[in-house]
Amino acid sequence: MNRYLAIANTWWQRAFNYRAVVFVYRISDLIEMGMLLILWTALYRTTPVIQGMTEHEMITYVLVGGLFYEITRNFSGDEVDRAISSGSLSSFLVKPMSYFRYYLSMSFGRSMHTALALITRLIILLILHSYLTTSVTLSGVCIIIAMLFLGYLTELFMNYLVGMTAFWTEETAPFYNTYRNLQKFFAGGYFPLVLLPAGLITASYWMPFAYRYFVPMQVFLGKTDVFTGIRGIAIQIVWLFILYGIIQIVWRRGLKKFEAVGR
Amino acid sequence: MPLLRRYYHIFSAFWQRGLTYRSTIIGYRIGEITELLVIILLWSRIFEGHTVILGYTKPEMITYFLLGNLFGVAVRSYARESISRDISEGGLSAIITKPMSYLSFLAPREIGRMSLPTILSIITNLLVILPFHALLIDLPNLGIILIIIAMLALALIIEFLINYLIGFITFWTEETEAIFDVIGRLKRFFSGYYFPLSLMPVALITLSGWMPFSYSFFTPAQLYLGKMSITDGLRGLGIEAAWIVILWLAVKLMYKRGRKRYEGVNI
Repeated sequence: MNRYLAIANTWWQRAFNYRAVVFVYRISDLIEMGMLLILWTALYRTTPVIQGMTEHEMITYVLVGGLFYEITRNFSGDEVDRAISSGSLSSFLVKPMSYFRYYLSMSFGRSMHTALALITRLIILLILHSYLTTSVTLSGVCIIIAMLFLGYLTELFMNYLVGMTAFWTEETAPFYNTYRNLQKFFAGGYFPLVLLPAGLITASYWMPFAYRYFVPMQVFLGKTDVFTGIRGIAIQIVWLFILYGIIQIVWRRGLKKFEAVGR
Repeated sequence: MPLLRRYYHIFSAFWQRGLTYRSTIIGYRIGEITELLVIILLWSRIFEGHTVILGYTKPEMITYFLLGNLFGVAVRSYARESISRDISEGGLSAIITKPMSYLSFLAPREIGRMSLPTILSIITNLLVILPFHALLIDLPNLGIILIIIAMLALALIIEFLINYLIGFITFWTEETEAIFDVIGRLKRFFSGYYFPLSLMPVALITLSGWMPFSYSFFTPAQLYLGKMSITDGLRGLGIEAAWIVILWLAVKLMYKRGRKRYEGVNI
């Protein structure tokens, strides 16, 4: 356990070297949030309700949902990609610990991004608190916490998988780009999934992404019942098992292709 | 002529190089199409039960995004990435010892590098437009079409110059990714990529008219939709020309200052 804590601590310290970078990314996130607020506020000038959502519900969706999304976000797949393409993975393979466990510890350590995102988002929430609305119950809060924790793990697993594409190609950037766009779309990060056609809404409930933004926000706004929340948690757990299985298969196949010379 | 041949060789070398990254180019196009389809889907749903939203009919809004996006991809540049690499990895040293200036080397290299992705982007955008053609607003008159073409040509030059400026930030810091991200988002926002700028508060609309970004998306799309007149278009061309002069001067100044900070060892 101490070993993993040491790794997490090293990466936490390392993240501090890039304070300015992390801070600038937060500004970028705030620009996106501001843009969404401008868009929805303008649209609500023409109609009081859009697909069953009032203006205050939509503002809450953007502000609180954005917070949920940032809490569960991580970029550690980049490190997997770098380790494979630079060949530094070799040094992990000879160590008496699995690279996957190292990856998990490192990702927890790199959570300074999340900490800073939390601070900036909470400040915005405080400033705009009069626009917020909620119908969440205590059981709803518990469901949201469980959902976000599992959402964080799902995102970690997914990033690990995308990072492993580096076993087959050096050009991994388009994979990240497409993956991030698609997962944000199915998470409801661009707009609430209620705006999608019924078929796509159903599909998104069976995928793991909606549980990082859309579904916890539905619970927060009281638009879904406890049963749907619990079912969502079950779907997330199943996805974690599926992803873990896929990771094992891809890792084994990838290692057969891995070559590192002169290290 | 030898000068032109020199530029042609740089263009040709980077065009060939672009061909080696075919899967990357296709991968990015998939992401691009997904994003465009998501926007169309969103607006189609928002228009359910409404004929006009904030002065736009559904066909106008769909045309705005489909054509605006086509305009946007036609004038796009990623020169900042290669400039940043030149500076941070020291490749600049090899270029500045050549008998041509770095600034004049950049344009043919970038045109060569970006031609294939741009052509593919235009083709994929046209393929997305095809199923929606019945919804599109008819072509405007010839005068407007000529103004749009001129506006996009100037927008391409502006895009290049802005990219040079952003890339030169690497002279001062190596951590440029986050800065690129912020500037990229602001550029997209003020170009009208996310939504028509007419949805913004009046002060921001006025401000965006004086900035160089809206001429790659919002203004040509508005001209196409007949929501701006020929006079507005001509005024836009004047603003673009002024920006080109300002940006060129800024590029020269920033490059001169940056060069003083540049160090290349063991290249």
